[in-house]
Amino acid sequence: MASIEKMIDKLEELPSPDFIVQRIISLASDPNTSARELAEAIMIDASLSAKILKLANSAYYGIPRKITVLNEAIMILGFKTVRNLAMSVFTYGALFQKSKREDSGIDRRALWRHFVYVAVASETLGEILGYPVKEELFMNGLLHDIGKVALDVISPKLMKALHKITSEKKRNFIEAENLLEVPSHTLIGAKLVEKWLLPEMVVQSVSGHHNPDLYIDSINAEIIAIVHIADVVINIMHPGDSLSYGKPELNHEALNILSLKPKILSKFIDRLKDKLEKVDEFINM
Amino acid sequence: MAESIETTSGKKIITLFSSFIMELNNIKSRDQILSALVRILRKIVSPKWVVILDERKKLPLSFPKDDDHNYMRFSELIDWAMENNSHSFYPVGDEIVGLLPMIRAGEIRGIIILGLNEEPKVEEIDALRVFSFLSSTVAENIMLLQELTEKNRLVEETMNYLHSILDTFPEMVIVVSQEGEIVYMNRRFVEESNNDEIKEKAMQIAREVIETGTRRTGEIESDGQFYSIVAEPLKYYSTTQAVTTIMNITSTKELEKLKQIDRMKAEFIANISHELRTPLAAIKAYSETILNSLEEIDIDTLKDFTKTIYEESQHLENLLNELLDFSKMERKALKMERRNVNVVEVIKSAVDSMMEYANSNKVKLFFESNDDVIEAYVDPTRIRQVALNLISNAIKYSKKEAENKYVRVKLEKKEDTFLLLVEDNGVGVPKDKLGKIFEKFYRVDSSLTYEVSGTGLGLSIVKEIVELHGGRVWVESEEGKGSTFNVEIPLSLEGNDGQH
Repeated sequence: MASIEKMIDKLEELPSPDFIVQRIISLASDPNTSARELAEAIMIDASLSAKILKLANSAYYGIPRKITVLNEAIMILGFKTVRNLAMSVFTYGALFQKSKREDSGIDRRALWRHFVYVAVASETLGEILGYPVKEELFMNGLLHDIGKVALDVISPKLMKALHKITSEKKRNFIEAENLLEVPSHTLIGAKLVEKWLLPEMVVQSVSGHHNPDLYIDSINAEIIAIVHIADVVINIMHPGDSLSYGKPELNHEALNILSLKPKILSKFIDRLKDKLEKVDEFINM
Repeated sequence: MAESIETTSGKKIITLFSSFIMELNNIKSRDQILSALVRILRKIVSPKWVVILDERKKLPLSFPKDDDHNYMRFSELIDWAMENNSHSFYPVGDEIVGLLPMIRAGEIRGIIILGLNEEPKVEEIDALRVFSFLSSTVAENIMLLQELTEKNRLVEETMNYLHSILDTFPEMVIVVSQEGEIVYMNRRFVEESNNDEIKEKAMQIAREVIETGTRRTGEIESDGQFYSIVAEPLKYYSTTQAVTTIMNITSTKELEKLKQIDRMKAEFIANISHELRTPLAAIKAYSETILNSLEEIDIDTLKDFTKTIYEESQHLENLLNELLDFSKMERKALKMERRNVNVVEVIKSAVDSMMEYANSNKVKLFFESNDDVIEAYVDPTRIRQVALNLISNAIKYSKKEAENKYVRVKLEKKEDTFLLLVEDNGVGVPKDKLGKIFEKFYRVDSSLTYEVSGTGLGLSIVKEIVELHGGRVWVESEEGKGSTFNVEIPLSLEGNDGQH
């Protein structure tokens, strides 16, 4: 069917993070940035500012005081969390943009819920495992399936075909891709985030989130493994959200990479259930 | 430009790490690691003040010292930061308050609260987070180590405590391993284990316990002391050991003996009252009869009666003498009046005086001696008493209905001693009673059946007299066949004053 090159060419049609989001991402990674600088960059886009403030005051964070200015949101929640919020707003926009082509008919709201859930699950698992910068995990979780958004935009017809197979035959999305011999969402997604100039760890967790065993030697091995487990767990809890209907396949190497014991895993699930109850503001953006 | 910034901050981080690691080398307690952390924090962001709380929001450690900066005013924020594992900075008035939860494996271990003059940069925040993570990990490990050390100390103390308890035991306690080695011994055993006889016996019992897996007991006499040994099996991992207790029960045995003597004394009193009343009753009855029928009584009957009265009073006198001797013996006041005498004559006269008693019991009594004269330095009255006692006993304990009853008295001169044998074919002494018949109050038929009369003092008086002469007395006997009483007494004193 469609060759990878052809598809990648079509990635041009996808919205890329605008100048403001790009600047937010780069400021949040610059060690010399101050809260004021980042706040100023966000404030250029009033709508983005408002959405970020709304999320910052959401039940998920449960901050005891109401945050009214961006500067405070950045100080209290941290640069990276605010960056994540900006990234969430952007990804949401990309997913729900009006397509020039026909509609693939997939449940975008469900797919978005999957993105948010995997972001929260990755962050929660990182927290339990003692990963110091859990905010990075949120972004990696949020973007892991961005390739599916790309496929939906580039070829709604193909997406429709894939979805038909997965939903009717109770198959996993990746199996359907193999059946139809189309470039996988992991590959397309990785190309996309690379094009967006996101850090390498995002590129790797997008391309490796079904095969953490291939990234054992990567500096990002733990991040990829965490995103993989978060994805599997969320697929078990909410089957179909990610357009996958088969039995989620757990890659055992991921458990080894993290030295994950069943006891920690069940603690993770318990804490995750609590957190997922507080993410309504993210889902209904 | 960007590159040079990164290089600079990279170097700074490495410098901070180096000094932190150097500090870690000398750290022994959680407080020390927290102090080191405070020093590092000051190098990163130069806070105006720092407060560190533990997971229960207690135990504040602060910089500057002894000023908690009223941290409770941030209580709500502290709760939030700890609940959400969130590193955050709040503008409060003109300062920025930083809240850095210390997290270890998803669990909050404490929180660092900083007061800053200005907003920290991304790099500074990241560095603060990394160091707070590192310190909580190190602090946790130090606490684990302290806990472990404390537990070890506790185990050791408990063991010492148990050892001290075992050491106070009056018993010797050892534990023998399956390989037959002593793996534990209490102090008493260490002090007394020079007795190989006891040790060997204890080990033998312990080996039996290990082989059979059941409790075993034993007793041993060594150096005049009695020991009781009790061994119990003890499962230790997959092996069987034997907890072996060795107890000196000599005093317990003596106590038992005293109790027995007490019992025998009570029996003796009942017995002696009976013994005294029998002749007295006869005397009273006969003399009463004579008194009431003095006119009609004929001379032969009168002679018969008075003879009985005489014999009974003589019996009474003997009994009283025996009692008197015994009383002297008890008070250690029995004295020997020694002189050089011919023992043959002394014994012969005793045999002669018992002849009539023997005849009346149909017992053949004879005396033999290879020598006519055996001269010895003894108390003749007492030696006669010994002979009389043994002979009368031999006659008394003859078989009632048997034929050919005899008592043979034999005197032999040895090198420095003379040997007196009194042999009979009477009832004999049961084997288990042999050791006891010389004990005071002891009668083989200790029951109050009065089948055979006697105070039960005779043989103990014999033994005392013989021993006061520096001699010894023993018995060979077979139940139902007869007994031979042997008395061996030195011919002269050899420095023995005979008073004890």
